[in-house]
Amino acid sequence: MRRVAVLLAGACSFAPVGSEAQASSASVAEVVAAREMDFRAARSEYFRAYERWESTEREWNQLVNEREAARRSGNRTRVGQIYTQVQGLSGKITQAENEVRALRERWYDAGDALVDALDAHLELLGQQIRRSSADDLIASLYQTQNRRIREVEAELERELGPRRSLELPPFPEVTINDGDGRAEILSKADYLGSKVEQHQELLDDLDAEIEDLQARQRRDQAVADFRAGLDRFDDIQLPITDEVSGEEALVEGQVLDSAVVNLSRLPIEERIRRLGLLRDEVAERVAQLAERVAQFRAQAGVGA
Amino acid sequence: MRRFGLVAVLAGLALSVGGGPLSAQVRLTDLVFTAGVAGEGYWGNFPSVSVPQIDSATSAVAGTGDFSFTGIVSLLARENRNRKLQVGFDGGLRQFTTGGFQLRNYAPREYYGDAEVNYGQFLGGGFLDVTMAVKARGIADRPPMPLYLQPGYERYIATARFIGRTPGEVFFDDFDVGVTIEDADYAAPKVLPQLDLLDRSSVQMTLGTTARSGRSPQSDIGDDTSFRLSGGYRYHKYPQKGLGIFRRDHAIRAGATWSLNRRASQGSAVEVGLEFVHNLSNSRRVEYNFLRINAVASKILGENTIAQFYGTLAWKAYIYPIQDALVPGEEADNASILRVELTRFLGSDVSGSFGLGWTKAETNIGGNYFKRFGASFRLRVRPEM
Repeated sequence: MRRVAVLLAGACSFAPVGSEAQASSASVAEVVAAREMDFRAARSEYFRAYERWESTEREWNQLVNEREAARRSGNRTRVGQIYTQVQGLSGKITQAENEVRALRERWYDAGDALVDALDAHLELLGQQIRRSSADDLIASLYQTQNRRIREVEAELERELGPRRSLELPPFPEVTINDGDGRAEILSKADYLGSKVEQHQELLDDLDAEIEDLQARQRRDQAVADFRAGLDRFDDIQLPITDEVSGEEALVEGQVLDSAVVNLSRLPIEERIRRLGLLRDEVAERVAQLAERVAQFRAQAGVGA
Repeated sequence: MRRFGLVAVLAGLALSVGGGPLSAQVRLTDLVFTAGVAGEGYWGNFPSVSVPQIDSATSAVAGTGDFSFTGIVSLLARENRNRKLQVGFDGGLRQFTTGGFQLRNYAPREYYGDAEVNYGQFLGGGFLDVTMAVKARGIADRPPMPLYLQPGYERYIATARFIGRTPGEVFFDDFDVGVTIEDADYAAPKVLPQLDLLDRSSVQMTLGTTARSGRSPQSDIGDDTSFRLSGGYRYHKYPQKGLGIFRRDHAIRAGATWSLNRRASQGSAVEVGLEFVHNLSNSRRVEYNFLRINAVASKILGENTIAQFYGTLAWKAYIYPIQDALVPGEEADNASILRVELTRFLGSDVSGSFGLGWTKAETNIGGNYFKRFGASFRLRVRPEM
């Protein structure tokens, strides 16, 4: 989609000839340059957000350690002070995590958009090369853009990993220690409460994604059903063109597409199934965490 | 049938080369029940040599009820990402009640069954797809024109196709080579022995190449465009047609398909195909040129509705047009066919479709046409797997 948009932005998406092809290539090159800047900006923003989260997380861990030390030394005043600070930081951590998640997606999107633009540029350069109107510079540019696609994909894979992990992070190991007072227990309950919210958000995302996939699946099936219905009682059969395997004449492109697409990545029904399994796990995790929060609050003498 | 061994050998080779360990798991991955009713009108009174009865009616009407089921059974476990082995089945029954004929009103009943085994796997940087299929069709109380219904038959089809990446930096991304062999046996009743003239054995070889743009390898959600060129050679042998020297045809075929998928951004998709066939034969009267344009389109209308269109325009011209009557079984070769359908999803498992269809096709008397117009309503139930 974006690649075609890029080609259209290049004013002439199909078969540009001679100077038109060069002009179109130049326009697409501008789009590539703009998306390269977006990609770099998205990367910088992601790393800045990640550093902010790291710093906050470090501070939180440090405070937890200090509080433990203060508790051991019997310095109740200091424990109280740290508790207030930790409470403040809990919200900050959640905010920083959300920010990192959002910027991670943005970086992914920027990478995809850049790859699409590079891909479109390659197509135009390839056309020039095939028409022998290209010089060494064009050939070199072709190689550079081709290499850049691999770099971008490798960088995203290395820094961000697969776009969605189908495994849940470990269950947060938060327990009530012997010396924990009401404030500490409530603090831990708040922390677990924030995890409930995070998992609930993930659950909502998964529900939305499954719903989207199911809608796509239904539409794909409706298209397939329509075509099967046309074929079933030979209502559209033309004897001479259907003498050998009629499917090719009807939708040859899609027959080939479906063979390649369905096996080169997971079929849509399998993706729905896997997301459904993950969704069930997340729902179970939400219930477990909520139960743990209720237990902590009850222990602290606060009603659920 | 010995030629089907070629496809079996290809399948065996594929199974023995690469792909990793196999693990079996029988799963019903798709099942659809469809029930429908339709009303249709037919115009034009022209005899067809493949229809025994003659009636002087120039128009007829029909009401139909049909039921069908289709499904896919996967035979490999989910973890077999590089292979697929599945069995597809499709069966149906359509009952007509007719009106408007002069002699009597007919009640044709059509049966249809299709079973196929499909094996596919990644092989040598490409994808190998092998299919063996049996299709059968039966018709009882076949009516005279103008209510034209195809005769019954049994067809055995085997196809092997390999799809690979085009080497080097060229415009086309993929190439494919394929071979299809088929035996067709028309079930001729005693009163209509001429149907046996349609029996044939065929071999077809195809070579194609496809250029794609828009969809990245990481995602199949986005829009995409593809352009495919293909060509092929087809050989037909008609063992019942001819006196001593039986009819043998050699045809070359060229085709182009352009598809524009904008479902993700605009909810629409279009595919247009153009096909040309030049047929030569040891019987000059059946040598012809054939041209066909196909279009398939769909448009999503809101969350629960999708509109679809299918259209065909076909022209056929005999190179030596010396006969008045066309070749048995090749009626309806000059045709225009349009189908539209509006589907509404009524729940997660049920959808309802309203369709309109129009056909104008040449009978076996050159230059004379019959027409068919119909409206249908179908309910489809696809239980969750």
